[in-house]
Amino acid sequence: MNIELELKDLLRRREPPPGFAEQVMARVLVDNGPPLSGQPRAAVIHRGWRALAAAALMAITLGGWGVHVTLRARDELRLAMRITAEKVGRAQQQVRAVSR
Amino acid sequence: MMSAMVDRASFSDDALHRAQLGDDDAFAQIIEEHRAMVYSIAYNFFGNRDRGEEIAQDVFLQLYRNLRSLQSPSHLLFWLRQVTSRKCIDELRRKGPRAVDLNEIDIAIAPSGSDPFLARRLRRLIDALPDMQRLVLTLRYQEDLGPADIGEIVGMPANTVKSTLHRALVALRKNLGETP
Repeated sequence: MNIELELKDLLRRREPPPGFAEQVMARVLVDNGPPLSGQPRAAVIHRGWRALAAAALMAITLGGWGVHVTLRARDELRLAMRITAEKVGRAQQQVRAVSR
Repeated sequence: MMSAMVDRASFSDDALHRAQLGDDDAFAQIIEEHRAMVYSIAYNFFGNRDRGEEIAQDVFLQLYRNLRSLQSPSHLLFWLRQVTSRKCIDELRRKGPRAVDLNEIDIAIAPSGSDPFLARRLRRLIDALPDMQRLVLTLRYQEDLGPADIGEIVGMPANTVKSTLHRALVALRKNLGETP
């Protein structure tokens, strides 16, 4: 008897009971939750990150636009006040000239 | 033949890559590909179908959680063999000596053309071996691995693997009434 051949036969690979893969996948889902919308989890996660990035970009853009509008309004107000101050100054000069 | 091997390797590589990205179908493919190997290491170690299946399921769950750490299909294969082997030893320490199901050692396990009674007797003798001898024997004859590969998996020098294997074979031959 060749014991090594007997051992190879006896210890050969064999298939697990039917339904093994399904049971493992069921345990995976219990541990990790079901796949979202039938999509691979990572793809859904990546999509979530893309949405978040888009929202952040929009917020920055809108925020930037808001800052831009505010700064332009401030500059216009300054200009208006300067013009007004100049006009008031000229009017005062004319009043002084008339009163002399 | 060569192109089939390359196709198979790229298929495994692709499945691993997709599984790492969260594709559950790809993970199911990996289970299909390796389930017999993982289950059989545990089954041959414990001599018990239920414990073999339990260990194999735990191994694949652990694999799912560790997919990202694997670099290639060959790394995956090594990882599965190593984790299965470690789980077998840990399980034995945790739950105590295994209950060998003698009903499983039946004629059905004997390969065709082989003596079923000899197969049953040999199975009993394997189950009576010390744990590490049984594990080394399983990796040698089930997986057809050499001492260096077995040593890497179980964490012992190749020479120690050789002597462990030798002791196991001597014990089996002696109990079968053969001269070593």
